Amino acid sequence: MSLTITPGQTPVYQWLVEAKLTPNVQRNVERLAGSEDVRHVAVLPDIHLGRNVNNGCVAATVDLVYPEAVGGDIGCGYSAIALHGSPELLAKKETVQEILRRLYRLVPVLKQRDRPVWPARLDTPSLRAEPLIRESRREGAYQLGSLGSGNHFVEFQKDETDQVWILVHSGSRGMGQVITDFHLQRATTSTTGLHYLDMRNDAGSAYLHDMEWAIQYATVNRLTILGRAVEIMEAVCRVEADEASYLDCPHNFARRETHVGQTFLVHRKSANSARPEETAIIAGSAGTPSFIVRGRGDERALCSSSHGAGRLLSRTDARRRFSATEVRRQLEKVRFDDRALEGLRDEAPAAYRDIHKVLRAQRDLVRQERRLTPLLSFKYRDLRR
Amino acid sequence: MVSANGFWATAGSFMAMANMPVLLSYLAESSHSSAPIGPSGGNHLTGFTQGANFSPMKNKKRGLFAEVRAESPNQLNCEDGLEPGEVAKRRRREKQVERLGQAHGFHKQEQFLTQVKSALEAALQSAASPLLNSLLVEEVVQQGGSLLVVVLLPETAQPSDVVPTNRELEQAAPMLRREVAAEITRKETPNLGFVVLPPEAQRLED
Repeated sequence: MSLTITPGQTPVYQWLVEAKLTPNVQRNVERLAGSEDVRHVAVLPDIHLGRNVNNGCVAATVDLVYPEAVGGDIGCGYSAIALHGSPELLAKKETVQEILRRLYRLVPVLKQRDRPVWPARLDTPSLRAEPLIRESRREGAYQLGSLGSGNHFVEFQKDETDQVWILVHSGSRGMGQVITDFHLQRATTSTTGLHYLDMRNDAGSAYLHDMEWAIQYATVNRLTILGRAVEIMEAVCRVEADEASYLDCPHNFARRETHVGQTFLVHRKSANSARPEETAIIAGSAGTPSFIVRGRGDERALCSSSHGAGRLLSRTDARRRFSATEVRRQLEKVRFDDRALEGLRDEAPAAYRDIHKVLRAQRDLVRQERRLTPLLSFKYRDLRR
Repeated sequence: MVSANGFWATAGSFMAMANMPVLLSYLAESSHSSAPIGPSGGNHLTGFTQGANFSPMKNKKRGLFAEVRAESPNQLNCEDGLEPGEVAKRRRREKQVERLGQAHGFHKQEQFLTQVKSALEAALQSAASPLLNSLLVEEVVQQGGSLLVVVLLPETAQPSDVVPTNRELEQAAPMLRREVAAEITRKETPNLGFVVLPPEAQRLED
């Protein structure tokens, strides 16, 4: 761990894998730390370049909220559930094909063909602004239960006891972005170019309210996907889920927390909450293990941990560097849909950091509880390309 | 690896939907999940820990996925009890019959235009303007990248009503496009153009 104090006296604690940050990432960290009302910044080992604010950064403020420090995909995170079954379930090629076939049908990339069930918890409380409510009834309703593209995935994994787990990574889909854009239009520009809202007036409290809604939406979205994956496993492999093992772990959110006797608004962009004994999920890349961890409650990191391995290469660089054959070699121990290989070159495992190094770099922050090894990976190619 | 060639060729392995009684364990704590977390820090399973004495059926209804599932997973599927291989064969045969004499893409396009037509009809019916309520969607056709909507005036209308109707449709176009967007499953919603026909208009067939 290293500590830097910015000219504005903001402490920046860093847990890094590499010796130093790349210039663009460093610039973004300084920009965040130098923004108004930012009192504390933690840089986690999976840090990588993000729009305006890096992914893998935690920032604490007192009165202001920075939507860009939460990210557009509000509430994005992982959900996991264990099945009463062993990895032999996925040993047969035909079974895997059937599971993938059903996943393509039941877990779409963009939106559902039919309007899915709209859970009551998304109506109480509802969003505040009329345009957002309208959007949630239209796009929001149809996008519920869709996976999204890029690094969002459904993975079937096994733990050390040979129990199969389903891990879902998805977020608030289009709604998170719509909510962020709506509130950014009402935000004030800080001296560093980031945008903030004041929580002491309506604009700030409205954002926090809508952000809470988006976190709920993201949780329900993951639950819907998880439900469909479980349904598929019930139908194809005749196994049921151990519902008591359900975990939900968002990593894009802001929350009021007390650290060292003072209450802050802690912004987490691609960072887990890791309070003492709190359970969190840290996913590796497609070919590498994921981990269920317990927080150690390190106040210097604002009780946070990394959310994954973190990108080493941009999508463009990864596509340039890895051929489909190379990606197939990197994924040799994981089953996946071969036809999607070309589109998944930017998600090559080697485009991410070594997850073991990331865990070592943050051993002050979390301890490993369970290791999940990937068996079958399902994801859509990045549609933004 | 799942090979591209073998992917669709395994419909024969289609298994009947499971209809097994559900045995859920509503344990408050387990070795690997003693503290599920969320942004509020609460235990997400609190609601499920209270029903330890429920029957399996009740458990399923109150289960983790109850709020996001449309129907009871215990419901019988029409394919339950059938030989999976026979089901797959029947499906293949049905598909072949459906596609006789037309390309698959053509069929999808027809389906899409029908979807748009019914969405527009519903939108016009529920519009705030009585003029729009009275219109009848005659046809929706593809015109380059956009769609041309052919609208018929009611029998009571005069030929001079074509111009104001056209104007009204142009004004309502964004609303109509939104309605179409909500109904279809396409990444982009096509632009809509309108042609208003007087009530006596008749289609000339070749």
